[in-house]
Amino acid sequence: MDKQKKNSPFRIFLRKFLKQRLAVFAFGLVIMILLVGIFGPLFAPYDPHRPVTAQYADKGIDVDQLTSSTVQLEGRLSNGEVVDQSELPQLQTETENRRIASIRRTQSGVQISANTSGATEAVIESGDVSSVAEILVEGEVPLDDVEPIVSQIIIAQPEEAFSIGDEYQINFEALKTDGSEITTIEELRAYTEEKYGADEEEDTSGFQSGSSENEDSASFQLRSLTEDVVTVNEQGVVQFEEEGEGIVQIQSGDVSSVVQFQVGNEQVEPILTGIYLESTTVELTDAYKHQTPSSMHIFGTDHQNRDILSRVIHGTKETLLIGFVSVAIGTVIGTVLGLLAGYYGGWLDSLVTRMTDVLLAFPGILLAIAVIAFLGAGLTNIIFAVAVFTIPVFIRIVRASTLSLKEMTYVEAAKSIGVPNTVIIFRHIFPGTLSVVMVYLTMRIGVAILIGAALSFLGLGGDITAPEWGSMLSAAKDNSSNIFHATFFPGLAIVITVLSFNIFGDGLRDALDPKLKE
Amino acid sequence: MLSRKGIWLLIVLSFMFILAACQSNDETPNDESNNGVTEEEVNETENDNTNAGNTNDNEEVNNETDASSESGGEVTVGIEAEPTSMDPHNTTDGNSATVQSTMFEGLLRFDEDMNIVNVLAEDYDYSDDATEVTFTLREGVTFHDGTEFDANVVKENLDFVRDSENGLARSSFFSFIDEVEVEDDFTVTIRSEEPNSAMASYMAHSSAAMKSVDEIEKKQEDEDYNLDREGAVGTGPFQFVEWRDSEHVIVEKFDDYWNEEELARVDQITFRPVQEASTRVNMLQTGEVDLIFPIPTLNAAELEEEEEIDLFTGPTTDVFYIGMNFENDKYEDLDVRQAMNHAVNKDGLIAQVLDGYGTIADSAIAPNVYGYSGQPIYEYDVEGAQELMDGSEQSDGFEATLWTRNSTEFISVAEYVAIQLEEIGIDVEVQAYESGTLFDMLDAGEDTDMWIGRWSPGTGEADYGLRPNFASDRVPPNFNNSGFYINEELDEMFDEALATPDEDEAMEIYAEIQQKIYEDAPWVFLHIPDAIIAKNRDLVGIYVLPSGAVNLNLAEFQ
Repeated sequence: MDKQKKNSPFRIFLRKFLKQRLAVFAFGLVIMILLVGIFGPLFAPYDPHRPVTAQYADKGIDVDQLTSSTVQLEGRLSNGEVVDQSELPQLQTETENRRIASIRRTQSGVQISANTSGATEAVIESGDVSSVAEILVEGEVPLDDVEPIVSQIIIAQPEEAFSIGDEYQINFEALKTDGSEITTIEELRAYTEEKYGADEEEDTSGFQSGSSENEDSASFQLRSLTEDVVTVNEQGVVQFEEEGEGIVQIQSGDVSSVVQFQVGNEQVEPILTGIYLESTTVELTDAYKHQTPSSMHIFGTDHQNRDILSRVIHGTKETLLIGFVSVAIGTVIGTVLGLLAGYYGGWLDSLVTRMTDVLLAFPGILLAIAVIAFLGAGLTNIIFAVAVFTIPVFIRIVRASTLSLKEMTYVEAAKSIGVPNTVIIFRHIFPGTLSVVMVYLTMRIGVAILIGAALSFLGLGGDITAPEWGSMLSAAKDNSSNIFHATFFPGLAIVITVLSFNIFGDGLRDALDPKLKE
Repeated sequence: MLSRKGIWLLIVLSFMFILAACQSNDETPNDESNNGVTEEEVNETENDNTNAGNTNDNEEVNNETDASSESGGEVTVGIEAEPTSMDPHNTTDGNSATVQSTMFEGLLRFDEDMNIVNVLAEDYDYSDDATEVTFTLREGVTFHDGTEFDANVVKENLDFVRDSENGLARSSFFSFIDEVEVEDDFTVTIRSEEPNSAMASYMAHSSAAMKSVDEIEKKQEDEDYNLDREGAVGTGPFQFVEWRDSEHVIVEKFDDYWNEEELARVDQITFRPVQEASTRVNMLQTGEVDLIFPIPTLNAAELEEEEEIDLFTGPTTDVFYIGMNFENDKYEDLDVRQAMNHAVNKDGLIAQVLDGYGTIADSAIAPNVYGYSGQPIYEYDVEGAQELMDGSEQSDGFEATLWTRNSTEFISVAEYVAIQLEEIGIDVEVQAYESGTLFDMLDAGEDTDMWIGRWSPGTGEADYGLRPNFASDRVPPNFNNSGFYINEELDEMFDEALATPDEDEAMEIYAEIQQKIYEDAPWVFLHIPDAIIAKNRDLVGIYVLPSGAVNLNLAEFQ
């Protein structure tokens, strides 16, 4: 009894199979991929259809002011009053480098949005006064050597009225983003020349366009805006010449403030003397897309900021669906046709084999594309397309083994005692072809997955936003020279899956081959 | 046995025919669409052939070039696709217009500041009621084939393109013309039925270029004469040499060019269609080509760092939008449309899809278009959008199909907005099509739902920026109002603006139109992309129009 069990065909097969380490390992992988395909979506860390930034809140990750931030600012008038930003006249905002961050006035305030990583400055201007905010966007570009800049200038506003002939020494503080201050004119002048002097490069690009703005960003200026009322010298001493309203401006590059003087007894209208920013440094993160692999996103994120790991997991199901269903359809039809052709021969055989020849004459992918072009894009059509080019292969191999099995004496015996043809085909011949079919089936699944991925890579998979490995690759391919992970992981998934199925099929073939001894 | 083989052969052959038929079915509509209402496509670089450098700049350029003009040289340009035609009257894509701009000229053109300047016309004059414009033509201009340019040429050209029986893609563009009259050899008058103060802008458009009458006659005599392939005989500084499919188009310097100051500085320009953007970038880096556009935004940042390469980025007049079909009940409610506008984060779109190379569209036309008036934009506000949706007729959300072209840029935009619209309960399926197929589907107007559109007025002024998209009489099958947006109030205002001779008043009407359109939200207004052009450092004299179009007529090597 025991001995019989030991030598049963299945036992032999199992022993032979287990000897092939690689095939066993591939089999393990196949099982694992199947499990991922079935249960994976339950464990996927993120929703594969939405950007991760929209999901951080649900996951309890703090995302406050990640990619954009509203700058709180107020204007101060010469009489000490404070006005809200919404009341500032002609508020102009601009960032130095729009690629890094953009700034825009909205109903609720001034909003800064990060574009790519790096450091830049935002200028907020209203008439003669302006302030600068430093924007640091964290990301690929290192931000270590960013110099602190002067963000705003606060000029002490004298409260008393002056009379002609008086002199007044301007006092100011230029606040830097690191908290330090510049209080002397010389220092501010030196700082300004160093920072803004180098900026004036001639544009020698050889492109001619109409929209070239040649703003004269006069670096350092200490000047009177009302020349006939007041004058100011280089040391910041103000002379009052005439009665009326006197305004003196201090400008350091993009930063500018004014101070107002009342000369004589006539009350002057308060004017805007400066824009004050609540925070002079805005820190943002470039988390829009292509986040590199990290503990948060093991495979990184893609061009729409979706978690690649989750997408690969969700894609497994569809990939396997394409692989299994199409090959199943192809196998069933192919086997039946192959059995009939091989057994009956004659015109049926000729018809089937010639059709097979025609189908095999086309490269598989071309045939699949032709079918898709005919039926339209979509998952079901991809399955059908892959099935169509799987059929001829199975017809060939089943027909071949049917032809040899037909000549076996046990078939001849069955025929001679009058067993009906259908019974002979399915009871006597079909089981004999099974081993070949099984081997080819596993190998074919790998090919089917590859073709399925290729079709969705070519954009024939219908919904292009769906998490399919092929379309993930397709979407990431244009940036593949800069971004490594977006193509690598879906590609790796395809390679591992196809390779596992093929090696497993190889092992199966060797184990089922009776000619190979144990 | 033999006959049996014959039967199999027949079956095999018929199978192949079926397959072949499948393919050709697929192609035909594309071809048609290229000749159809592909104006959207056109406008990418439509103005190219109308500019050749501002006259103010000419002197400066000339001084520079005197020394180097002997050197000549050959410029190779990497363009994004195969040109579709060499006939400006049958061209609706910007890519072909770029190539043609070296060979063809019109009566007028736009300069870098979008001003209209004279080219083949010496002067033009509107009649008081703006129904007529009279051109005084330049004398002594010859075509590449040696024929003279005169008033008759203008009439022949315009009459030929206007005749819809000739099947030229641009025939509807000239539908404003009622009559072209030759006054004398060098004076010609164009009449329209309605007062139209934009006629000069239309005549400055790239498709209003003049080709040799000989070519028109050849076509009239021989139906099969292919103007698209062979009709490239204009008056420009370069003349046509050869066009090899998917390999190159070569133009060479035309020595008898009428404008000696703007004579070509290089001997030859080769346009090479290179579809894959990354390949274009590589070719520029290895020096195989001297100038490329467009460039993927991710590569742009990288190219900016390179020593030997100059990168130009500047605004265009393209506006990206999501169109929606008003025959579809779900978009009838203004709340729904405004909710959709609020649901899309434009800042995020520009940062994510365009890497910062773009600005938010705050009107239906771009700031560089004459007559533009900015509106307070729809701020990103999901909660507000959701509230609007809840209070609308579509409170449960709905399903929608979003059509897009299958280029990477369009697909990324489509994917991005699909994700965002889903947040307010609009379940969007993105379908990508080859652009010709997409235009066909939009023209058919049958299953249109939502689509990603791009429009840029090639005439550079508000009328052509707005009317084709929003006027009631511009609905499919013929025109670009693919969403069947009907607003009679706007229709009247369009006509009023055109008929207003006073420019400031007209501008006010256009500002009002834009405000009404923006508030009524027939589109989801997205963004205005930057033009990104890269070139070899040694190549100079490349002119870029405010529309982002490139002109190569004065290109030279340093």
